[in-house]
Amino acid sequence: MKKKLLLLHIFLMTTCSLLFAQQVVIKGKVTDNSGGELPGVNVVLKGNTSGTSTDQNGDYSLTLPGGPGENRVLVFSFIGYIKQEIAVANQTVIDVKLATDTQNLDEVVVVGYGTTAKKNLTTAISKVDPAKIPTSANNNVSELLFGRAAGLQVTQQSSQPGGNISVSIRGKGDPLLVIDGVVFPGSSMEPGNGSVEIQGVNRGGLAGLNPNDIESIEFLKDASAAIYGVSAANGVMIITTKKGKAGRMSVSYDGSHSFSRNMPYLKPLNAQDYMLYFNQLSKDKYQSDRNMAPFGTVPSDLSGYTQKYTEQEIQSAGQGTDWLGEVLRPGSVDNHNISVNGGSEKATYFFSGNYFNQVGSLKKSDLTRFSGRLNVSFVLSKIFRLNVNVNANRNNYTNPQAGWQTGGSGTQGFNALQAALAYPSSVPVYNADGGYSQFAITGNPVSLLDIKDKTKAQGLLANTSLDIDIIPNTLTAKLLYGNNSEYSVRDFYIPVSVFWGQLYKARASLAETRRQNQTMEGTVSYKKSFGDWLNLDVVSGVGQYLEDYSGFSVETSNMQDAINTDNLGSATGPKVIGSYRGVNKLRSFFVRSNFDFFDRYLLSLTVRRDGADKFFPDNKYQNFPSVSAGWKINNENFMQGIKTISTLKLRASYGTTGERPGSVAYGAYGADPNAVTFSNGSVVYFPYRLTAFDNPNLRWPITKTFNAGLDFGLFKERITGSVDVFTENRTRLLSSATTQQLSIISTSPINGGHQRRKGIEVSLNTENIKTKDFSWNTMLNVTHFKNRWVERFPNDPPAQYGHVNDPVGGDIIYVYKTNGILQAGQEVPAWQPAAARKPGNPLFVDQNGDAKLDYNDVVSYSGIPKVIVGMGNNFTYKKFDLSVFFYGQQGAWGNDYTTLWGDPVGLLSGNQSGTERIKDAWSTSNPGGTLPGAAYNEGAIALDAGLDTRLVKRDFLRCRNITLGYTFSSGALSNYIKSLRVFADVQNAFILTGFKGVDPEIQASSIKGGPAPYPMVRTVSLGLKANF
Amino acid sequence: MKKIFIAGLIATGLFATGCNNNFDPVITGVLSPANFPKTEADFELYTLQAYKPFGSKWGYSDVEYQNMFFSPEYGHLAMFDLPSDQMSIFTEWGGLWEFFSKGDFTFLKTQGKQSHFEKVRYVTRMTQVIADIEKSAISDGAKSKFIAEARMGRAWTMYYLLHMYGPVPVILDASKINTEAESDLTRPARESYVSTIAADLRFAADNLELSPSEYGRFNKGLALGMLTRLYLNEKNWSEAEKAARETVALGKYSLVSDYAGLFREATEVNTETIWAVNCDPVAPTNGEGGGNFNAMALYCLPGDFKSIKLGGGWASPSGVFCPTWQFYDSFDPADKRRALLIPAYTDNSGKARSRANMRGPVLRKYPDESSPGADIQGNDMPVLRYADIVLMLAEAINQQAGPTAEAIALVNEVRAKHGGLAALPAAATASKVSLNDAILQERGWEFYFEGIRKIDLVRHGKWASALEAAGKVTHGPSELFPVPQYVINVGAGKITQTTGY
Repeated sequence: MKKKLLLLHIFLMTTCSLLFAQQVVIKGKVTDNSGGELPGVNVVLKGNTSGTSTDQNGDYSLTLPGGPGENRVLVFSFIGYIKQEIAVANQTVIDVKLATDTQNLDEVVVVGYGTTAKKNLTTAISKVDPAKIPTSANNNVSELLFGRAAGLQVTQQSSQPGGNISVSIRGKGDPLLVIDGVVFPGSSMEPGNGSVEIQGVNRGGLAGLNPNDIESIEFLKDASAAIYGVSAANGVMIITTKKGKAGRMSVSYDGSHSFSRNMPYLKPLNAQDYMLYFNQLSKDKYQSDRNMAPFGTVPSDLSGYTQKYTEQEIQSAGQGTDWLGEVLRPGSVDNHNISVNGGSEKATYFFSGNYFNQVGSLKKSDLTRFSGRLNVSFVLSKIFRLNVNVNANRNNYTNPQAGWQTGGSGTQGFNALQAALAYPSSVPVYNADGGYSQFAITGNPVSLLDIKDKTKAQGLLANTSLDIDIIPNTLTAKLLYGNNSEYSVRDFYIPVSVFWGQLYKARASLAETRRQNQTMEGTVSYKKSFGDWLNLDVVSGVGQYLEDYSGFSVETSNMQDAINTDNLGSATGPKVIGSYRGVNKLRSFFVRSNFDFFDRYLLSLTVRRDGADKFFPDNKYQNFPSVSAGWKINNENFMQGIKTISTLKLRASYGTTGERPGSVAYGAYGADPNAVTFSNGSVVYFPYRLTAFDNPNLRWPITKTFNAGLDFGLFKERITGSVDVFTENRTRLLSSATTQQLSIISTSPINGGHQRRKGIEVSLNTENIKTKDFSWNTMLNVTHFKNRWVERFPNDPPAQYGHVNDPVGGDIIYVYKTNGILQAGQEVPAWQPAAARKPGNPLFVDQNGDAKLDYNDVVSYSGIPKVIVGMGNNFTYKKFDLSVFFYGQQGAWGNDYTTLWGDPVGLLSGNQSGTERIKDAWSTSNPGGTLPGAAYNEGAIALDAGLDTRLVKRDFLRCRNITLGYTFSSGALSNYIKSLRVFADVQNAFILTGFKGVDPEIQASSIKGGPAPYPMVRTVSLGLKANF
Repeated sequence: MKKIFIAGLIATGLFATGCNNNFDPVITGVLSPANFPKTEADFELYTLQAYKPFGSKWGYSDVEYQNMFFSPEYGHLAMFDLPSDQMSIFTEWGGLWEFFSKGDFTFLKTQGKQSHFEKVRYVTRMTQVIADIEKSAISDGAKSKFIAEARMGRAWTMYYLLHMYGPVPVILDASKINTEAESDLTRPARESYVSTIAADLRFAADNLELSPSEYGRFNKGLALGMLTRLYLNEKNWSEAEKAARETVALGKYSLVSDYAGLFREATEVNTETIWAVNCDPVAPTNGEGGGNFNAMALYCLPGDFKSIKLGGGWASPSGVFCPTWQFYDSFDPADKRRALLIPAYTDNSGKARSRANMRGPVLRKYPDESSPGADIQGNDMPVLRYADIVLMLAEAINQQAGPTAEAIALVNEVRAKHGGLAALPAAATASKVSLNDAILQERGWEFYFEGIRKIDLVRHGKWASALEAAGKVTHGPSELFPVPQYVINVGAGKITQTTGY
């Protein structure tokens, strides 16, 4: 395959080199509408292949064959501008003004090592223009992406300041991230906080990048990713930052203030209800534990039972403490951006500075960011241009006391928000003596806010590139070196005054992580037009990608609160020290050729050869070829009469990509983290054991993607859109998979398994109304995909209730169905599990009717959406603009683990209160209850799959932004300001959903006691943007 | 031109590195098989992994997560004491605690890879370690010492797996490692499985030190004692007797007169305890990088029980391990061993607690006297005591020759030294059967909460009946655990499920 592609390459390139005679010289200058000089404009004699392009000043000089006066036409073309044809006649000086092309399909798309006009794309690439998205309350690029392009799945996993937002292309996991040509790690680099199980941080990556600095974001979704040096199986996300533009200095200020309020959160029981339901359910539990009627056969005898709360106590309890109110608060964001941009023909510059300060809606959680960017470009000589981009940033977080623990510590390990849900409203914040109250073994929610948990992250992204014009606008080369260095430190301290983990004890952890990603690339590109019949664009390059990372941590205890982590040496507790380091090296060679025949037939061929250091020598390298083609049907002669269709392009791509190997093929002996100690801990050994076998056969996994698409434009591009269908086969997956059952090592890197992902995506843009004063545009995108196993890893067969071809991983949820609650006196179905035969237990459904409950009764639900949708409407009326944007999903199910707060078993442990969901629990006092009662203990059922009692639909449609703006552009103001826009924006205005938990998007893990995810917020921003 | 020169240099550099056809991996933080293990010191570190499952921490990272044999959860006390006639049913926490205390192991069918079954991989690992030591160039003395430790670990693990699941598939021949043989999950015949354990223990007994300088290492007495247990449970009475006598003949061990002292930190090293989990009161309870700890007070004391260092245990209204009143009442009131069961106390709120409002007596075998002792304790947990050797010897003799004077005297020695009790009544020594029953009962009083009871009941054929007599009528179909379903799934039909499931 690879050889054939290369041969084809060579053939096509050689046949294109033609020579022509020269006679007449035509000169001129090409400018844009505003008179700006346009360099790089193609100037070609129509019907011929000879041509030139304009220089830095927009000047050109073209020698034409034959004498003057012949009937000749010059064609001026430039990406982003409307092509002009001018008859030469007797002119020798032809100045041309090119009009910008407003047609959507002519926009320029970054494709990796180059750009192309969207109309010439042969692959599935989505572009997101951040300028069209409100950024006021957003500190992260990912926040701009919700629903913005077909094929994107963007999910807000945590709403804390800087919280994690997962971005995937077609559901594939983290894409390869490239910023201005430099590979950038997409994940956050959050240091741990030692062994303390409070872990409220769920941080997203890309924290250092200011959304306001971004020019465009492209997603390479199919074989288009195959060009990308290093593994691109999950697609590529290319971010391009703003660059300076030659011309007068322009200064712009963009500032806003936002107010945020928590969206409805879980509703804790008030004091009276807590007492009431505790009493009711305790009585049931007492009877159930003793097998008394109606739970068992023993006659009910409550003589030994005493109610915890008397009637009088209940009556006088009232609402009690609003614990959530004690830890939550209104939030705010201040966001100020200033940028300066301009330059001359010798140098251009873009500077920006950003201050972002977010006060979180949970007390003591916030984020402050400072970032600065400098993008400059110098013309060193006729041949060389030097570009330098530098971005320095610092993010300071105060991490929230929210979320859930990392282990099974239960109520003793709760964070402040969990504690606020766990503390009964009947408990006051302070005792009579003024000290914090304490309930059961959980720390007081307000006191837990005294825990210090701060992360400081800083990053420096610098890249330097040298553009070399070997033959101007024809043969160019580029050398690039990019270095991204990040450093994070987490400072965690529990003061001795805070009761946590059942102890008053000073506990500290200080941990830092560093990482550096280097990109070194050299590329050569060749662009040439051969008359009307062929445009050739070839790029070839080599790259080396280095990643190194390291970390260091200390954890200790017992020190002075005032000193805490400032001098860990003063701590008297044992000091646990950890460190690690790692290096990964990848190399790539790549070549891509784009052929555009007669402006109708497009062909693109790429070959990439990737190498990874972690494989054995014979398997280090793998070839990844791809081919794509497009047919611009609307340029065919037979389409010229059809005026309705302004654009019609059919395209298809097939390509292979690899996945950056996370595994090492080399055997190793490692220190066992488990200490073997003798003499009561005074002799400590860390044994060394075999951790990996040599695996010389380990190879790159291969992902084969086929994509077919149709781009269309109707009614002079009033309606434009694309439809794409794709099938992707992931073969010989490389994963740490289960070994044979008797093997020494339980999991080992294995090439195995095969997954198939299929899907369809549609995007549509319409210009509904366009008059002088009023316009209305709509955009809509719809995405659907499914990922199934074709073949499993050899030692990981599906569970008994599963099938070989089931959807992969969390894309499918298996449960036993239940239907209602077993009532007192009701005959117990034969198949009801032994631990669920008392009234108040869920009634299990014997799905197959065999009167047994086993794996054959398990049913499955989709864990991923069937449809992901994004929809926006933009209106302008005179100087007002209004945009309303929605995104949503349909068809996904999930377990809502915040329902754990509504389980009687939690309430009855005596260690925690609960939510109002408990009111729906079945009890002898509430026989109409629809949820399991006191006699039900999920932990005791012990079935091989879960129950459906927490299973809920995660369908929603969220109104992400409503933005209203007004632009001043006249009057006295214009003497000082070029333009001024004021705006108001509501982010997360509302959500349409049947979901009853915190939020259908936000993660909440199953954890002993119950999780308390950071609440979702609604944010109202007021801001202005001024250009000077 | 200088600039262009520099640029050219960068370009050349890039292309040169890029074209280099191979590049070596940088592998950090681990040792390469090319240079480890080689020296005696290397092999000592390499062999020490044999000790991994024999601690009392929460567990260690392996497969998904593995509990140790003496961990609080899924440890010997939870597996072999809770599902016995001596402990109350504990439903408060559900899950494993409820099922173990009821004696119903069916729930383990759906257990994931945290299952002890995964320790079959440890057996293979020890086989590899043994083969590597044999192949090495270290001194013969070091070789036999290290191999003895590895074989002790392998044998003991196989012994516990036998008492959980019956014979399980194991790799004992290093040449089968990394071959298809590792997928063959056919259960071996019990005889061959047991003889492997016996051979390992024999080798360990012959080569381990009697008193290793590092307290807590495997020793000769442990190997012999485990050999005694193995044969006794297999009802190979003559071999059991031989192994027991060999242990006695070591001359190192004798019964202490202070029974309670066996479980206290101050007197944990004594003439009687042959091997105990060595515990460190300041061991970290998070992670696995520290020493073993004794967390049993947290599991035994009721939440409202103000003890020496602790203001209460983790469970309410009783401890997780709560003996039954029936068991309490079975003691002779004069028996000093009963003193570790507390029948009445005043709770934290000042309320008097007694038999009337207690599920059972409070088990305080391990007093929380350690410093700081705010949570975990440093009391070592005896796993093999000389008293066990004495009573096993008595049982083996009685099984072969009936109630001989020697057998009776052995039982009486334990009764007198530990219980402060008179000799067995005549009825108990009247016949082989009655002495056998008396020995089982004596063992109950002597070894409660030491991870032995279920195995004893099974040997005496009384597990089911004893549980029913204690009111545990909902015990499961077998005294053994079911093989986890995921193992059956990968077993390609070769592994048989434990009978009854």
